[in-house]
Amino acid sequence: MSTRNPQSSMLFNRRNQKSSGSAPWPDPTVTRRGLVVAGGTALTASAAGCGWFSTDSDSGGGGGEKGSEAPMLAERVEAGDLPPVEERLPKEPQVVTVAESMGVYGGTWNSTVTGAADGPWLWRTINDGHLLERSRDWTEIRPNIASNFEANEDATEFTITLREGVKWSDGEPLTTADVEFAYNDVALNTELTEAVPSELTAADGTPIELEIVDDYTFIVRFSSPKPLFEEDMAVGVSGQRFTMYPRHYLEQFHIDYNENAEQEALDEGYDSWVARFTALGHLWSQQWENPDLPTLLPWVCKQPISDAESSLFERNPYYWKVDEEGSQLPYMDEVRFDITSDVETMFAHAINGDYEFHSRHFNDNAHRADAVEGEANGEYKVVELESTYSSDMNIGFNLNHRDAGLREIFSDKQFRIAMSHAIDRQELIDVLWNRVGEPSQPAPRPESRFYDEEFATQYTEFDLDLANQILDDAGYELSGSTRTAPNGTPLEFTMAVADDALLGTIWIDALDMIKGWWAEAGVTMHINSQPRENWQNLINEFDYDATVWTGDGGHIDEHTSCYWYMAAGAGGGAFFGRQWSELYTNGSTEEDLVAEPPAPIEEQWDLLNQFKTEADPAVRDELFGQILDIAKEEFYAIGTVRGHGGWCVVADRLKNVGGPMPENPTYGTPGPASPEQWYITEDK
Amino acid sequence: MQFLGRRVFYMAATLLAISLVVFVIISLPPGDFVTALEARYAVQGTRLTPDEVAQLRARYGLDGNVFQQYWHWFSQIVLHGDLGMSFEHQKPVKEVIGARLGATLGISLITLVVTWVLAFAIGIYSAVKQRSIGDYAATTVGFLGLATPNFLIALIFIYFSVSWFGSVPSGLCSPEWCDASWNLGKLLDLLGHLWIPMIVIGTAGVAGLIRVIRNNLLDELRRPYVTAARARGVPEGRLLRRYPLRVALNPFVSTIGWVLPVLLVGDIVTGQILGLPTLGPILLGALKSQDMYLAGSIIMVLSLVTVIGTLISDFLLGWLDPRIRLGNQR
Repeated sequence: MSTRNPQSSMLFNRRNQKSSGSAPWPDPTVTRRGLVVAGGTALTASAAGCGWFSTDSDSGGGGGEKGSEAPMLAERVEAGDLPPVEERLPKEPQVVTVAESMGVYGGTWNSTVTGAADGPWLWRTINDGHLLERSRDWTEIRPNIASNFEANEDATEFTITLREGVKWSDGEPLTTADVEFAYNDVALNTELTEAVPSELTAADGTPIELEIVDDYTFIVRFSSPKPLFEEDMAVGVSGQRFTMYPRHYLEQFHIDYNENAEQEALDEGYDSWVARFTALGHLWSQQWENPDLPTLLPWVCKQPISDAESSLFERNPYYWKVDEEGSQLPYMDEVRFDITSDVETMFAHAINGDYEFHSRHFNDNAHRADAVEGEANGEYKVVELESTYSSDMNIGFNLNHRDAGLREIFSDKQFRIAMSHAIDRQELIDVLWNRVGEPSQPAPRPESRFYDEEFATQYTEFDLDLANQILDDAGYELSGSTRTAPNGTPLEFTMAVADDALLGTIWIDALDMIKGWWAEAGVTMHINSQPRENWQNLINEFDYDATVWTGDGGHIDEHTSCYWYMAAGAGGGAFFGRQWSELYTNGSTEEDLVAEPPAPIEEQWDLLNQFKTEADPAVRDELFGQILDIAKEEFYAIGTVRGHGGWCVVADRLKNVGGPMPENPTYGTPGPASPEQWYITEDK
Repeated sequence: MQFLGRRVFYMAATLLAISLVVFVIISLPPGDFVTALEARYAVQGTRLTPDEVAQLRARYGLDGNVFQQYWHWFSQIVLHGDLGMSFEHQKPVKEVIGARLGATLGISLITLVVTWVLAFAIGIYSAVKQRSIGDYAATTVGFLGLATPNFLIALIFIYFSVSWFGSVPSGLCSPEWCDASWNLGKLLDLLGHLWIPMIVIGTAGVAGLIRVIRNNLLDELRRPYVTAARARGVPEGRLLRRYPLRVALNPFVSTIGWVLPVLLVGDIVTGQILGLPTLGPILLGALKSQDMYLAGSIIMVLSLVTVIGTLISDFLLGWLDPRIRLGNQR
C-alpha cells in the first residue's frame, strides 16, 4: 500500500494566528507612511495627487447605494457616454430571483485560472446567453434569452421568440439576423464548421431547416422528432449556437461578406480568413479572448485570459437581467481571474481568503481539512458541492481488446464479478476517502430518479474466497501465483491511469491496494500511470487492457454521460467498448471490428435511438430505465467508492451563493446559482 | 575580426541544429495537440465529439508529416520572421511570446546582476579570509542554496509569506495594483514581488559562482608572483585587484554563457509556482499540450539568448585574456 501523501498541502496547515487580519503585503498605506517620514511634507503633497509619485492605486473601489443601475454606469450615463438604463434594458428584462437578499452594487469577484487552457471555468462562471436556462435545482427549464419557446406535438418543429430589445454588449440589438448568420454562415459553412453541431441535426444527421418569421421570431424544423432540443438549448455552448455570433461585428471577417477578408487575415499574421474568424469569434475561447467581440455575458472581456498575469471582465452595460426590484444585474463590477499555474499556490491563495468564490483544481479530499482549518483566518467558508459521480473511480476492462485471449477474459461476466468481489471498498473508504463514502457500482446515485439499489450494490461485498471460487468454477486454473484462462492466456494485465486527472493521486493509491487483493485472487495487475495526454492517446487507439475514470452519469447527466451504462456517449464513448461506441456514433469504424457487438449492446442502441426521438418524457424515462436494466444485467464495468464530492470556498463577504449545489460539468457549477446576483458586502 | 566571424558562424550552425532537434523531439510523443486538448477537456468534464476533433485537426494542419511542418515553420521564421500560430492561445506566437519576453529577460537580467555582485563580493571575501567564520558561513549557506531545489525554496517562501504577512507572493503585482497605471506605488509593489523570484532563481547561481571565484582566487593567491609582489611592498588591496583577481576573473566571465540558461531554466519551475508572467510556465504548458510552434519558438528564443550570451562571454574573454583571442594563430 502506498503512503503517498497527495501533494504538499500539509505545508499550510499551521498558520500563524497573529497574522489574521493583517493587510496584504506590501500594504500601500504602509509604504505611503514610509514615504511621508522619508520625504517630509513637500513630498506628501505630490503623493496625495494622482501623479507618478502617488502611492495610491487608481483601480478598483466598490460599494454603493443601490438604484436601478450600477454607480459606475450611472456616471457614464451622466457623462453622455451611455444611454439611460431604461433604453439599455429589453422591454421585458429577465427577472432573477435573488437567492437570499437584495444586493448592492460594486466590488470585484477574484477567482483564478491555470492559464488560457482553463477556459471551461469561465464557461461555468460568467457565461450566459443560451436560449433557455435551467433552474438551480435542475428540475425546471425556463426562458432566458428566448422569451418564448414552443414545440409542436411530435417535437419536430420549434417556434422560438427572442426577448425583444436585448442588446449586445456594444448596444446593437440582438435580432433574428444574428440567428440567421449564426446558422447559415457559421454552422453551415463547411470551412468554419466541419460538421453541423449535433444539437442542430436530426437523429439521422440531417441539419435543421431554419425559417425566419420576423425580427424576433424564428422556427427550427427537424426532419424527425427531436424532443431533447429543449434540453440542449438550456445549457452553455449548445444553447448558444444561435446567439453567440454578433453579425454586425463578425461580417467583416467573413469571406462571404468581405472579399478582402482573406488578405486582411494574412496581413495580420493569420494563415487564412478561417483562422482569423476562428480566433476572433468562433470556437471555444473567443468570448474570453477578444475584448472587441460583442457578447451577451454579464461581464465582458477587458483583458483576455491569455494575458500573462490576469484577465479582467467588467460589467456589461447592456446586460438584460434585473433583480426583483428592477435593478440591472450583475451586482459585482468586475470579475478578475488571476493566472496561477500551480495548484498549491492557488490553494495558498484560497486559504488566505483571496478568492470570493472558487471551486476548481484544489477542491479535493486531500486539501479539505486544511481548507476547513483556515476558514476563520481567511474569512471564508467551505461549502459542500454534492458529487454526481456513480463512483469516484470506475474500472473499465477493454472488451474491444485486439488480443483475442485477453478480450475473451474481459468479456467474461464471471471474471468481472470475481474482480468486483475482490475489492475491499470499506478499506478504501477508511484509508483513502477520509471515511466518507459508500461502496457503489457504476449505477445512478440515490438522488437520481433512475436509482436502483440492487444495481448500485450488486457484487460489492468483499469476499476473496467467493472471488476465488467464481474464478475456479469459470475454469481459470491457478498455476503458481497467476491464474490461466481456459484459452491459455494468463490473467495478467496493465491498468492505464491518467495520474494528473483531478482524482489521479487517489486512483493510484486505490489501485495499489486493489492490486494486492487481486493478487490474492490469482490475478496480476500492473499499474501504468502517465500524463493524461499520453493516456488519452492510448484510449483513443483503444490500446489498453483496462483503465479507470470518474463515474460520470450518476446524477443530472445520466443520459448525456451514458458511457458507463452502454457503448455510446460523448468523447469516444465507453471505456469498456471504445470501438463499439465508435460504431454506434459514426455508423462505421476506421479499423475492422475486433469483435461483433453482442445482442445486449445492440438492444441498448435500439433503446437509445427510441429515447432520442420519443416526445413523451415519461416514456423516455422508461426507455432509459430499460437501458440501465441491461447495464445491470451485463455488468460491463466495476465501480468502487461513491464519494461525497468536492467543495468550494465562499468568502464571508460574498452573499447570495445560496449554499451547497451539485458539482457536475453538465450542470456547470456554479452557473445555475446565478453569479450575476451574487454581491459583496462588508456587513456580516 | 576573424575571431568574430568564426564565432558568429558557429552560433548560426548551433541554432539550426537546435531548431531541428527541438521540433523533432516535440513531435516524438504519440498524439498531438488535439489529443492533449481532448484529454484536458475530458478531465474538466467536457467531452469533444468526433466531429469537433476532426475539425480541430484539420484547422491546425496536424495531418501532414513532421518534416513538412518543420520546414514550413523554419522557412517562415527565416523568410518572414513569422513564428506561426499558437494552438492553445489562438494567437500568433509572436504576440504570446512578446507579452512575456520582457518580464522573463527582466527578471533574468536583474537576477544575473544581483547574482554577480553578491557572488563576486562574497567569493573574494571567502578567498582572502579563507577559513574565517565568514568564509564558513558563506560556504554553508552557499551549499544549502546549491543543494535545495528551486521549487522547494519557492514553496518555503510562500509558506512563510502566508504565515507571517498573510499574503501569497505570486505574480508580479498585487490585485489592486495590476490594473493601476504606473506610479511609485506600483513600482514599490513590483519590487515587493520581485525579490522572491530573484532569490529563488539566484541562490543556486550565487552559490556556484562563489565556489568558482573562491577556488580560482585561492589558486592564484598562492602563486610565487603574488609573494614576489608582496615582497616588493605592493599594498594588499592594489595587489589583489591588479594581478590574481584578473586571472581569477576568466572563469567568471566565461560563465555568462551558461548562467543565463540556468536562470531561464530556473524560471520554468519557479515561474510555475510563483505564477510569474514569464515564458517558463507557458513553455511547460506548451510542451505538455504539444503546442509545437509555441514550444519550438520559445525554445528557439531562449537558445538565441543563450547563444548570444555565450558570444558575449567569448568576446569579453578575448578582450580580457589575449591568450584566448590569439589562441588559433599559433
